[in-house]
Amino acid sequence: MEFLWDGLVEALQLVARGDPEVLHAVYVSLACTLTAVTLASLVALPYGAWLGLYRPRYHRVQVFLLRVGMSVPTVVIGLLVFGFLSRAGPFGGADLLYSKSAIIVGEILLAFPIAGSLAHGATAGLDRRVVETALTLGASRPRALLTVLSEIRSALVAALLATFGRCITELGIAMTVGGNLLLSTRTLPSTIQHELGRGDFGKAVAPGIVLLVLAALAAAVTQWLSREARE
Amino acid sequence: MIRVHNLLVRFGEVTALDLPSLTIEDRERLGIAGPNGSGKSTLLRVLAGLLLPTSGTVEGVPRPGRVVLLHERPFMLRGTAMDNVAYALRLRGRPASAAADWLERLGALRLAERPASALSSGERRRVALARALAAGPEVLLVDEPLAGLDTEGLSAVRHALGAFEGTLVFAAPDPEEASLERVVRLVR
Repeated sequence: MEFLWDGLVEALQLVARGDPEVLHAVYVSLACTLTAVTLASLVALPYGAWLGLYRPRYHRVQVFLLRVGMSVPTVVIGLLVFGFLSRAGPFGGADLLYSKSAIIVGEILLAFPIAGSLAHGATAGLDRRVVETALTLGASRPRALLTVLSEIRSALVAALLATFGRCITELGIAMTVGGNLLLSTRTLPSTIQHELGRGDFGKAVAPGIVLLVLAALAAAVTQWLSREARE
Repeated sequence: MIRVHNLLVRFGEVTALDLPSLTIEDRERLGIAGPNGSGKSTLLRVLAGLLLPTSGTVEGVPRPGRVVLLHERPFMLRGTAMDNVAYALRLRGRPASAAADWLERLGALRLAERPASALSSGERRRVALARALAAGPEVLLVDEPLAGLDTEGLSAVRHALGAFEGTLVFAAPDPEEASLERVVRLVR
């Protein structure tokens, strides 16, 4: 128990005094995740909503592919991105491997099917009268889609937070294509992995505490939005 | 003039509507009568361009926005009653400030700032009719617009529909509105 307690105390001290390595890992994690989730969601949310609302040709196949994409292990996504960005790969000349950009590319691939599938789920069971009301009042199809997205914005924000939570906690992509470089591409989960490997339990717990705080914030926002939607 | 010819709508094995022919003159006030399940709502959805028929043709229907359907159970968008009417006005490029005028015509101005989700079914119908009229339709399709209205609501909706100058298609099990020029009866 003393081992656990000492580790927790050391972790809290590191967080409280703003340890530069922990702070930089927070910065890398937030920068990569927010960028990836934003870029992926800009396309994935309208795409998933479009699939749910208009049920285009082969929509079942597309929904199936999104669901498959949701369950692909992050290390496999990392391998895929590694293949494309490594020297011998098709985009090797871009020199992106072991950079934050590489992590962002991988996290976009991770975020897209999650956000798309959740948006599809939010719209597939939606009352058809929402889109019919918009269309009959003269809205174009893109405008009707925007109206629907506005109607289900609480569910969409919840989808965004779930996607954010999945991306900020992932380890496979960060390790495979980020390289876990200190003060460069080291994220919160890869810090935990690294410090635990070195046997420094306290330094491993510190980023875990930050991740817990971020998870609690995301859960609080989701709960607040659910209550707002009910009211 | 709207012309319907050999219209058939099937949902799987179920025939929802089978209408050999129907002509609706410009600015006509037509009643569509028939029991539940006779296809009144289905016909309105086809005329509104929201449902593709299994077979048959519909000619002369203006594009959505010019033909507006008021659902039997109108859907209220997020926001207040005023926001709902303003939405229709904005789609037509008209100033949203006119929303209050439309609500007043339906005797619903007191509901303007009330959340649409908190309106009763009768209040929803009045606000939805204000929203439909604010869209400035040439053809207005109304599905049982008087159901569940109180005396004040009946008077306001009847007055607003009576003042509408475009083509009106009014569906109800037994429409007895004095302002209707002709009633077509659908059979199950």
